[in-house]
Amino acid sequence: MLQGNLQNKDLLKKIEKSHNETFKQEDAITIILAKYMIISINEKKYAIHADDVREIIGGSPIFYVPFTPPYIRGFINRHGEPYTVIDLTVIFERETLDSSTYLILKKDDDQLALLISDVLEIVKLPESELHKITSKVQEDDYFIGSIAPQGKEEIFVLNLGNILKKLEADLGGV
Amino acid sequence: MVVYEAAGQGQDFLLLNYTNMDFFVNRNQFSGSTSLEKIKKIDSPISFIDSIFTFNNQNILLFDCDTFLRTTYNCDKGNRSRLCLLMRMENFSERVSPLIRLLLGKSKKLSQEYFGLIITSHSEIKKLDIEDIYLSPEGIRKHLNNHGLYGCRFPKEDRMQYFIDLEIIILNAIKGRKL
Repeated sequence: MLQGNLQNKDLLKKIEKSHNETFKQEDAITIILAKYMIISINEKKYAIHADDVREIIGGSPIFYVPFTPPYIRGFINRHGEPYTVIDLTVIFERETLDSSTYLILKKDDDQLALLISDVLEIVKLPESELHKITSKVQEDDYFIGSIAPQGKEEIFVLNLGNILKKLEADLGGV
Repeated sequence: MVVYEAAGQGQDFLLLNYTNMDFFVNRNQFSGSTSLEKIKKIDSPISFIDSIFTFNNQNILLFDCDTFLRTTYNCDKGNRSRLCLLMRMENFSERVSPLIRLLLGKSKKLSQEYFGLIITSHSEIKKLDIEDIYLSPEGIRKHLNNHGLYGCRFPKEDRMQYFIDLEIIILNAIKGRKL
């Protein structure tokens, strides 16, 4: 065994510790956005709560990661740090989205990016105008939380919590 | 012929280079390497562990790490020249070494001292800065750790290097865990 080289157990701790400072600095940077971001995914419009979004980035290639469900497209490189890329078209339409635009999600306990086609606009909407989807199926089964009126259109608001619950459930068996 | 010698102080890794990606492995996970000659196929129910070769008059059981990486990570199929990494029992953790001993003990013809891994010949020992290495995103970390993938580093914007654990990969192959 090589003298001075750490065992993997200690190495993992050291890597994690070396980035703690960076996380603190990054958390201090917040982007003030309006309440909802209207995005397109494969020509369909969705809304996402702006507070859930840290940043929009584009152009980064996706690096394949094995052992994951098909809607995990891989990692992207955000300032040298890997972010898990979720492709909702795999869940909604069973096909992959050809794009390199990502919403970096604001999560303290994870590094996640949503693959989207485009960001269309940012709007402010009173909560009372949102029509919550309730019904036949349990809400936990939905990835769409409510419907937001947008002029004559109605746009589905993504329920990120349930999308993340699906990811947790799909990986939970390991 | 031992290709790799123990490197200096610090955190050394073995870098396995493919055209479209690289992998790196803690230098502590193996004791040396040698050229691969006269590989013999054997009957084995274990995926990727189905060959032996002779080293120092001992029959070394081999795990085909190169084929595992090409198959699992969609690596390029360019370079086909390969080497053998040699692992001694002390390279394995207490959790895994009994299983390896049990596996090697199944045949008296097999070396009880060494276990071998077939790797690409495009490999080198390199010191890597720990601060450049990131563990996998937290939501997916435990899952990937269980498959022997700890994290990565990005040496360039358009290139990723995967931090893998040989011991867990071998353990999963022996246990028959699905890819």
